Amino acid sequence: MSGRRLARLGLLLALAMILSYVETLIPLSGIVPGMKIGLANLVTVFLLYRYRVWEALIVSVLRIGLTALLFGSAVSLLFSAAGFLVSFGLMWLLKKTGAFSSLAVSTAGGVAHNLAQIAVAVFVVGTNLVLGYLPVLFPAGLIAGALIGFLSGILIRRIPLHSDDRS
Amino acid sequence: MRRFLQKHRNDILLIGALLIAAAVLFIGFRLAGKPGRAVLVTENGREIARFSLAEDRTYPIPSEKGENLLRIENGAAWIESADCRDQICVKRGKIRKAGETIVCLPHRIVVTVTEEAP
Repeated sequence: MSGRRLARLGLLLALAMILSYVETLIPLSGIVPGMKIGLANLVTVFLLYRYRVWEALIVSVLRIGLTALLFGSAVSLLFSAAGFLVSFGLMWLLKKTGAFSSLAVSTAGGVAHNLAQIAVAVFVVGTNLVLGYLPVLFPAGLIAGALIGFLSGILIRRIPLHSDDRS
Repeated sequence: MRRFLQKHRNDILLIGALLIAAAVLFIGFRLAGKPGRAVLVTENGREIARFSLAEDRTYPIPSEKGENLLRIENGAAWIESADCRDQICVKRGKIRKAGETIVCLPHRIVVTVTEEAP
């Protein structure tokens, strides 16, 4: 990997962390408890389309770990990590089929993220009563994923390719 | 239009299926909700209390990790205050229909409305 490429990945990691911080300023969870747009996933989806999958994975995992250290807790890390791994895995597979646009890939990723988090909540709280949140969190994940997919679609199309960006 | 549909057929199918699933879950849950008679409180998955929704009262819910204050009034239940950091359970607001749930993750407390009287 070239130094330039490494520097770009570092910048994208910093950008993702700033977006995670900006997110904490938006009090969305007052409307739907626990709901987030997941702005930092703009970087994840962008990376998934523009960089190698392991580069996207490493930058996103670092972002999740570092933001949990800065703004989160052990429990919030467990939730973000589970949501991320399931949604990243699904998005990678859907993208690999070549049949879907980044909008559809990200929408499915948003839903998968929240489903994984509910699964973790069932495990943490020890009762499936948590499934009562499903009717709210499923649509919330869909909306957030679609929004991120729409915005990152623009970024993927508009941001020019650099000579060392071939992946 | 036809070209658009053909080009984005897979996208439309995938997003459409997710939209339908979301709508069915969201609307189905609203319509199917029967008015509750009581709330069931669990800590770590074990039942610790049952309170009638017919009686207007405030109940403290002590748990290993902290305390939540549960308010019941006019057939609805909500968490009035909690000594946890995120306050998501307080923001959740009122629940009154069977199956509706308030979760306090930091305290491992779940409050659910049930159809059966306590």
